[in-house]
Amino acid sequence: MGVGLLVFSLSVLFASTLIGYLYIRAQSPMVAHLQLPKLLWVSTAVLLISSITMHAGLRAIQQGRESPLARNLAVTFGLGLLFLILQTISAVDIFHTLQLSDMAMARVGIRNTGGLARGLTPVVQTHVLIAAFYVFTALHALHVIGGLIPLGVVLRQAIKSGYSRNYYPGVRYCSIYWHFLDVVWLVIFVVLLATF
Amino acid sequence: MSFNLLHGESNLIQMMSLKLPGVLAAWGLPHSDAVTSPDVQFLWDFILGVAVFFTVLIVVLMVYFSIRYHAKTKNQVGDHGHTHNTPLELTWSIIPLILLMIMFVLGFKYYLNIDTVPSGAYKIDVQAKQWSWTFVYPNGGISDKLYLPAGRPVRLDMTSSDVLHGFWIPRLSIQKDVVPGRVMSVWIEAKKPARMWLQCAEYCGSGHSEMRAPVIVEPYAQFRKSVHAIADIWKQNGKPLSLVEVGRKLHVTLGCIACHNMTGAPGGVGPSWKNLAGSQVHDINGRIVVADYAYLKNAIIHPGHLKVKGYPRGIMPNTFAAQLKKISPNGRALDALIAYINSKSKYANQQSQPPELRKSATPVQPPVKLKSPPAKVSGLPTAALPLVAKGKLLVQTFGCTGCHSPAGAPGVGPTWKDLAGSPVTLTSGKVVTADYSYLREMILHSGKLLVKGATPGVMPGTYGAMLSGPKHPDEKKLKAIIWYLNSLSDHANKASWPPGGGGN
Amino acid sequence: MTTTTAEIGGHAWEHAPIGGNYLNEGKGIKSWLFTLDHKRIGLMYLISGLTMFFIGGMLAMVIRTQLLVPNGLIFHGSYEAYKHYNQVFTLHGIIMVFMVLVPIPPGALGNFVLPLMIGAKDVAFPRLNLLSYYLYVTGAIMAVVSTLLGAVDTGWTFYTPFSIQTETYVVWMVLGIFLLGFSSILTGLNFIVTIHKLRAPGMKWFRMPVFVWASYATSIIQVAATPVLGVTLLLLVAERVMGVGIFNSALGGDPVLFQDFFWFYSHPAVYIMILPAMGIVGEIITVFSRKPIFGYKFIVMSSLAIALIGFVVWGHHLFVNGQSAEWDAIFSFMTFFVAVPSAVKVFNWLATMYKGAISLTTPMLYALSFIVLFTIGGFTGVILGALATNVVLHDTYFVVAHFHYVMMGGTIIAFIGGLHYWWPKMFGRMYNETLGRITCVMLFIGINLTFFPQFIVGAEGMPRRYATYLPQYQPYMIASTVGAYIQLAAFVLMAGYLIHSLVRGKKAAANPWGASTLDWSMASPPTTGNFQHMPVITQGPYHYEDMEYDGRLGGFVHVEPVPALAGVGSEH
Repeated sequence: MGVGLLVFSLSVLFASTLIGYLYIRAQSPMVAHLQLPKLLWVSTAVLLISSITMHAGLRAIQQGRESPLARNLAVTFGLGLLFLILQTISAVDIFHTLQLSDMAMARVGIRNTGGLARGLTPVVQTHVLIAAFYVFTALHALHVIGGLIPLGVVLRQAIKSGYSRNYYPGVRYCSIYWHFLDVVWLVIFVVLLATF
Repeated sequence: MSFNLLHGESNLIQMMSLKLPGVLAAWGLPHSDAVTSPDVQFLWDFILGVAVFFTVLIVVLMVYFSIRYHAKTKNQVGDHGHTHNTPLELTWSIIPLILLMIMFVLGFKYYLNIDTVPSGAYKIDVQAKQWSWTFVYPNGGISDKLYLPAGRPVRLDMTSSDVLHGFWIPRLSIQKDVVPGRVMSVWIEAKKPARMWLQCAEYCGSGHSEMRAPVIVEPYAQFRKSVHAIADIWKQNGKPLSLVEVGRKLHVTLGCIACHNMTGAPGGVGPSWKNLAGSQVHDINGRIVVADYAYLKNAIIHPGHLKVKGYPRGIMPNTFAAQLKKISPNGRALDALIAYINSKSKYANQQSQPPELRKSATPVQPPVKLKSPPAKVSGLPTAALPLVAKGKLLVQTFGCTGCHSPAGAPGVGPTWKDLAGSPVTLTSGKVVTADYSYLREMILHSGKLLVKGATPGVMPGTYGAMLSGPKHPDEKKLKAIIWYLNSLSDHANKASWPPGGGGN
Repeated sequence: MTTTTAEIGGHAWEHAPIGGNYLNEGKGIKSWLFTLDHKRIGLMYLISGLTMFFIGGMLAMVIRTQLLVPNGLIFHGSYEAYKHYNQVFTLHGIIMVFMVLVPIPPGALGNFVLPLMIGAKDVAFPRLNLLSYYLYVTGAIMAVVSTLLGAVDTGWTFYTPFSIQTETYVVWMVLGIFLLGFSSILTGLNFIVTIHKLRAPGMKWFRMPVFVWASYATSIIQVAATPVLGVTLLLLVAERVMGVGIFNSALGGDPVLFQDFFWFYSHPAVYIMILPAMGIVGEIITVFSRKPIFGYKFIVMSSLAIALIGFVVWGHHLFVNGQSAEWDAIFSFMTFFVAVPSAVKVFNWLATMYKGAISLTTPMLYALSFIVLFTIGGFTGVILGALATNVVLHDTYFVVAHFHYVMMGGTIIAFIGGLHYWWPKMFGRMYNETLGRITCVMLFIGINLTFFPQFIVGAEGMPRRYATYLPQYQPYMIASTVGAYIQLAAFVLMAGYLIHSLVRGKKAAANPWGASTLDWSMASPPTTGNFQHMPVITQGPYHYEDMEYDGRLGGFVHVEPVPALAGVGSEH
């Protein structure tokens, strides 16, 4: 129940960020179009697979098999780390463009546009899109890090054969949270694809 | 939602409220000088009446119970038989609900009056900034006081140039936030002449508490006189202004400032006025002339006659002569403007000042060294010159100059100075000439051609759709931009000009 | 509720002290810093909260002193000086809202009392509880750091674009508040799970005391609304650090969206502040009227209704910023609607007093003060909720007076009442009753004298957050400042007799007030595990007929052993 409430609370957090972003984006005719780093597709796939291995781990312990639990949790943990690395590479990749748009903004100055997002120059739009990309990925990545810590604890417990068919609360909680991270990322990714 | 149904009921309440105790009259809303005020006042009285009634009831019951049911011994207990009474509880849920709903409906009904701007209202623009209010009247008059006509609705369109501000005139029962990036409108109809304060109600920083402006409500005839006086450029607050101060007002109201800056920064549409009067300037043929009084006068009245090197002819409107004449037929407005230009120049002297000011002997400055002439535009067909100016505006709007310097400075993208018509090395090593089709291709499809040293994908690929394609089949804007590029280049030639020679 | 073990109901239990209690079991600073005991964590919240209340209160005194003269007594003559004034009222607001009113009633009283009331040994997640406390401390420290670096001058609402443009240390402050918000979410989550899972046998939902219900409603808001505050503040940080263009009009964002987001949390947060207060008042009134609370279910339902409707009234903070008239109408409607359950509560409390056996002890005087002050605060809220009057009074001292009546006269008064009520349980000592009553009357007078003139001055036309003002408002401002100093004197007196009570106070009995809820069923102060035997509950929370005052103990004891005692002690 505690994890359920936590997931609910975090869902409100992500949902309100997305709503705010989409509300603003919906009012601005897009003039800038950016390429999202291609690597994001890879990291999305990695996260999806990690969700599958997480589930496999849960199924294993439900059937009382301990060693597949540890193996699957370890793979999930590794994929989680890989996901973070890939996200970091994407972020560095796009940072160059942000620098350029910022140089340009510094040169032109920001004009007050006299209306909600209307009349934004492509340079400014490029800037705000990348900034939004950072907000979303960083917010999500923080939650992934926040998920890896308990996952590590559960993994250690699993290696020490701390769980059995009748007792596996840590695994269940981690699994709920991990799927939640997965779903949140998919939603964010779709929104980014739609608005970039 | 229709509120007609409610009229009967609200009259009933109105009658009831007359019988409410006199305590209401003692503390009503203090002032009610707007036509909407009686409604607000009535709602206030009504809610306050209900509030006072129930508060007194609650306190009286509380005190009475405390005395009447005071425990005599520690062991005395209360009546355990009465733990709930659903009908009673429903009663004291539903009665407040009904009263509250009446308050809500009245509040909303009156609010619609307050919120809906009547058509045909007199219009005043309000500009809020940290930390002052400025009012712009329809005749162009600008003031830091808000004049209002008594008995006529006025519409105020408000903008903020920095942070949130709050427009609030307590005595006129009106408040509205001024949100940057939006135009906020309110309307007011003051009943009778009065003086009051407009105060900023939304926290806006250090000077928030001193951001207020006097509000002067006058009879309509007097109001018209006041507004007329504001627009009178020769006076401020009834006091005559010096020629230079009048000129300062004029250069804002006539809009000179949009093209001629006072800072000396390069890149303006027209020459800067800083240190212009009394200095030496090139005319378009390269001859040196002194910007004296006659030159400045001629430049303002007949902009087409005079050619300044680096600035295309025909950009400056030739309407100023008529406007200045309208303000003062004897030419004093023109002199004021020239006096102001002189006040901005360290080279100003007896010859450059208008005759009126020559008595005040300004020491004659030695003639100065020539300033380096701006980039030349000679050679472009005359018909293209307006397009050059248009292109210049466009590139600023699009933010192109953020990456491409017009002056030769390095930037994110290649500089535009001397680009048109010059040879360019591509990443493939191939050298091409930056002719019209090259420039067009670069702007529309920046990804296709790669210039050596540039990063692919940096330039947004969106300009294509904004300048060409089905929405812009004539590519007018695109051509204007390319004309502007040509104006920046010494190598510009017929091949780098857009086709048609500026005729289309 | 009847405590059914012989020890609790009978004589043996009353003969305190059996040995240790939670205060002295475990010695040394470490046993406090790493404690998992909900009572100790509650006390740590209490101490931290009172410290913050002291700082916030001193800032309030600075504000009131400044406003004695129209040009400002302390900060005057320059924008730089006004900026310092702005920093003072901003810090006052931030400290009082985010570090006192929101976290302390649940954190201090909720933590201490809630597990006792439902017959639990602790909260559901004791470690999480400690984490909440340390997040609170870290957030408060970050706020202090930000203040030392360059105190924010945005107002506690952080409205954009000013909060993006000001050069003060907004980012630090905002991140600190983000942590405070996190702490609040975890506390709420903890309480909800505790109430769901850890109720003692027989403690059905409708046998829970009203304070537990109020805490439950509060927790729902904490869990569901606080994340929005978190995101709003993070986006504000992103806006300042790299310009994300969501709240900044210069980058295409919308300042009004910030206000919507901010109030989506901050209005429900008002109910986070007031609901526990209402719960406390409910407990006090029934105990000192010696009569079961009238209309228990209506009171419970009104708490839940306030929590739920409270989510959809935030727009009434935005009546003058260009929100469309339709939305204005909807929010105004919901605002009036949410007033009904509050009115119901007041009537039910009065009905509880009817035919009671009332003793006007210090906690009872606080509860009665609450009713009067909250009624005034509530009705002026109605005036502000009506659209036509709102546009005249928005952002004025009328608003300042309104929410101080609700926050100071409501939450703080109820909290102090609750502190006096549970003081014997917390520390095992009694305080001087006479001084307690005098202080309460002083506070009541002080609060009215401070804030009532502000209603008038607001209606006369004085906007809020003004460092200087027009001279015609001065008489009201002086009255207000005098009131503030009376309050200060009352608090000094209170600190004096409470500290005296800690050192020299008469030993408190297990149940000095004759309360029938479980929190009074163990010795004062309780042992670390709260209950020596799992209590079993067989009836509702309030019944006073089976209690008798025992002068030797200075407290109440059960007179008739309640049936169904058998086997209870060994059930768990």
